Amino acid sequence: MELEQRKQRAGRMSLGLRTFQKQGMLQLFVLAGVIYIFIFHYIPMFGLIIGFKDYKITTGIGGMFTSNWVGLKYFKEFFGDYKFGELMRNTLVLSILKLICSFPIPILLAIFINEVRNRPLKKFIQTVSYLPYFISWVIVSGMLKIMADSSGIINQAIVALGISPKPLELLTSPKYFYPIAILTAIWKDTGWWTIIFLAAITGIDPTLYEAAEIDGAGRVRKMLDITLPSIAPTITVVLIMALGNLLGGGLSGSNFEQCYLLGNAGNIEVSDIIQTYVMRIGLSNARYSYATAVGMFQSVISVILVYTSNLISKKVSGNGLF
Amino acid sequence: MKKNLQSCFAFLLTLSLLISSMPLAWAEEAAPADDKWMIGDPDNPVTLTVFINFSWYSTESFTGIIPEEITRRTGIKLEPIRAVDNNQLGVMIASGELPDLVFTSKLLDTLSDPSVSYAYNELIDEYGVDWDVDNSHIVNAKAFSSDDNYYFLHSHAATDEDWANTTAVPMVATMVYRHDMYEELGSPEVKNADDLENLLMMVKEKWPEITPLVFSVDSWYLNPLKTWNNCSLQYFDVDENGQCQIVAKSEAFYNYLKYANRLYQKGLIKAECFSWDTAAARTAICSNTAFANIGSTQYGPGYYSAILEEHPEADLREMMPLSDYKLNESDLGWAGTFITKNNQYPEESIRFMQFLFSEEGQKLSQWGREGIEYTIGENGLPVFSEEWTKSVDENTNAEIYNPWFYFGGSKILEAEARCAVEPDTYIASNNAIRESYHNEPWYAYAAPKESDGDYKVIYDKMVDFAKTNGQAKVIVSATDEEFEKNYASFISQLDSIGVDELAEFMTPRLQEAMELFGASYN
Repeated sequence: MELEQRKQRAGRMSLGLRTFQKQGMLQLFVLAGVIYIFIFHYIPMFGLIIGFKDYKITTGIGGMFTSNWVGLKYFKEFFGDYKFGELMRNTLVLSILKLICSFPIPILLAIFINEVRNRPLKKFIQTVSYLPYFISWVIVSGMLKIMADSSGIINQAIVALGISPKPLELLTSPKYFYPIAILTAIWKDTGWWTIIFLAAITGIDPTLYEAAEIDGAGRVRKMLDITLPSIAPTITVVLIMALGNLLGGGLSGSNFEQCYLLGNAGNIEVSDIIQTYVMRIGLSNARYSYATAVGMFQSVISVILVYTSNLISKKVSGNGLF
Repeated sequence: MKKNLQSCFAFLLTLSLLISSMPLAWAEEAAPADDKWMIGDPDNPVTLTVFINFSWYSTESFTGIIPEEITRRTGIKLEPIRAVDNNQLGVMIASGELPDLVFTSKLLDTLSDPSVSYAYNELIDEYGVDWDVDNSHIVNAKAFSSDDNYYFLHSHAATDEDWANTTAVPMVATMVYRHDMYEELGSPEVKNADDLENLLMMVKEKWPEITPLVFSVDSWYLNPLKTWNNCSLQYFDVDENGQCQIVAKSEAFYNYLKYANRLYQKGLIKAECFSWDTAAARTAICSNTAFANIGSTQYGPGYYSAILEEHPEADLREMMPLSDYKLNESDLGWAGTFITKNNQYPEESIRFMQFLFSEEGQKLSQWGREGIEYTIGENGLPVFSEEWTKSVDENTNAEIYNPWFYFGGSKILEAEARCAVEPDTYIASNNAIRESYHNEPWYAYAAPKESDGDYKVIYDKMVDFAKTNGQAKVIVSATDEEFEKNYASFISQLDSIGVDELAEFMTPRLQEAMELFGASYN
């Protein structure tokens, strides 16, 4: 009996080894990825200890281990900061608004593009929507500063159309910051995410559509009953990933760039988020311990969000990331 | 025969050209270098790497007439590395990957550390360098050191006495305005801040499409409005009892905010300036859409010359000081050059720094070669060569001469070079501004440093909030009621930062610093 089990185990091992040998080249690709993640993502995590230490940059890398422990000092400093409430509010409001407003758009665009029968037109729409993704935020903010200036084209249109008798303070008034941040994020990133959903749509079995047609389903019915349920797992994965990066800006992860480049003394009460504040008060003054503590706080929230959303998603729809 | 004649003619022509060009070549060549400052071998110079911690720096190459001359006189060559951003130096310190020299105005206290940099005084002693460093330089540098050594010297440092001995003007915030438009308005008298407000109002009424006053937030902000409302430009002040006061909580600061808000409510300044950088404000002047701009004395009429293409009548002038209140700056100097512990040539480096801080080194690095690039005029200011002036006009000065390696630079020489090319219309305002200028170095000297721990954090937060970010909301209040509400919130946030605690900490420090500089608070 025991001999039989050993034989089976040996058989399984040799099968595994044979499979591994067969996949040799592919496994090497995987190995490269694993090594990359280990070196650039796991090893630097040792640096997190400086969030609990009184680290001085003059002590070098060794100082990360030899400097004095200060416990939760920097976490307490951040939680007790006079701007903590404002920073949390700004970070969450901007992230949630961007998630709510920008998440459904690539899904809808992907479904609509899929319905376009004229191939050149389909490709044109796809290319036009995809191109802004390659423009850096520095360029986008520069363009916006020119266009949204009081004498810029947007304000000229606003006055000419009678929307406002005088130019609006689009760049400096706090009330316009969120709409501008959301609209630019949608303009810039929708095309990229559309590709992900289009790829998912391409994978749908065409016989499902044929069967639905035979049953007399129209376009809308097919979209609602076939396309959307079929790409639901992809939507779930993307949503979980977006929630995991909620504090960084959701889908586009562009909160820092937008707030850093479009934020100014005029709109700072809504544009100052955790990352921009840490950049000014922490990194610019070489306070790496403080910056690490705040970064870790954000990461912990992100991990909690990923696990919670994954759990909820699995319970509700049966789909999950892991 | 014809061929021989042609060859002969060509030979004679070449010979005559060679002979005629020789005196010119001799004249252009600088006098042979004496050995006074020779540190290395000009033919095989010692190369020092230097990190320039200014991402905006105009050069990242040690080439051009001035660098070549520096090498010729010292036998030292530099290999500059320009910063990519503000955070690079911190990472370099942490990773221990510093070059031979670091030129920076930030992290002075972090770099003044025996584990990172060599102390100047120790190198001077060790290598027997004959350098009698000015005591005020030593005192100022020691303010950033936690031991009794000094690890750098401030470049561009100048005292009130230095300014009293020049006809140039310090680099301070000021207001440039369109004098031609001012004359068109009948040259109304502008003697104080209220007169200025009236003038800006007249501009708005006569030219509604023109913004009366523009500014930017990246450099000089609204500083002249502060001074002209009798408000200090520092973050701290000392009352007659020697107690430290937070300027942002003072009555003078309230008056300044109120004044700026009045300008905003009347449409004399625009909120969008809070998103502008210096270039945007300059564009507003050059595109004839603004009457006045807050810049600095650094920007003469040449800075705005683009306006002359479309509006040759534009006459830009500097506003005279509009109050008797002194233009109080707290200036220890600008940047410092650290000789890092990675440096393989500490002796050569300290001798090189001595050269750059010498009068000869300062003049060479900032003005070029005497007798070729400049001569001294009757007014004591340099008179630059036509080639130099042309290169400035054509924006090729940095490329041809490269006067950017002034690590021991003099603020006075910088000002004199600047003023030497300004028109006569700037003389009166330059003189008035210089006479109104007063350096109070004790504030910068006593300001919290890294070793002060939590007080430095409070100070950084106060500066971050009070400098521009916290002010903007108060200034752009739409009504007086809103102004009062926003001002109350401004003060409440300052209190939350802990500025009163900071003032308590600063009181003995400031008293000590004032005593050190021979100043009195009563």
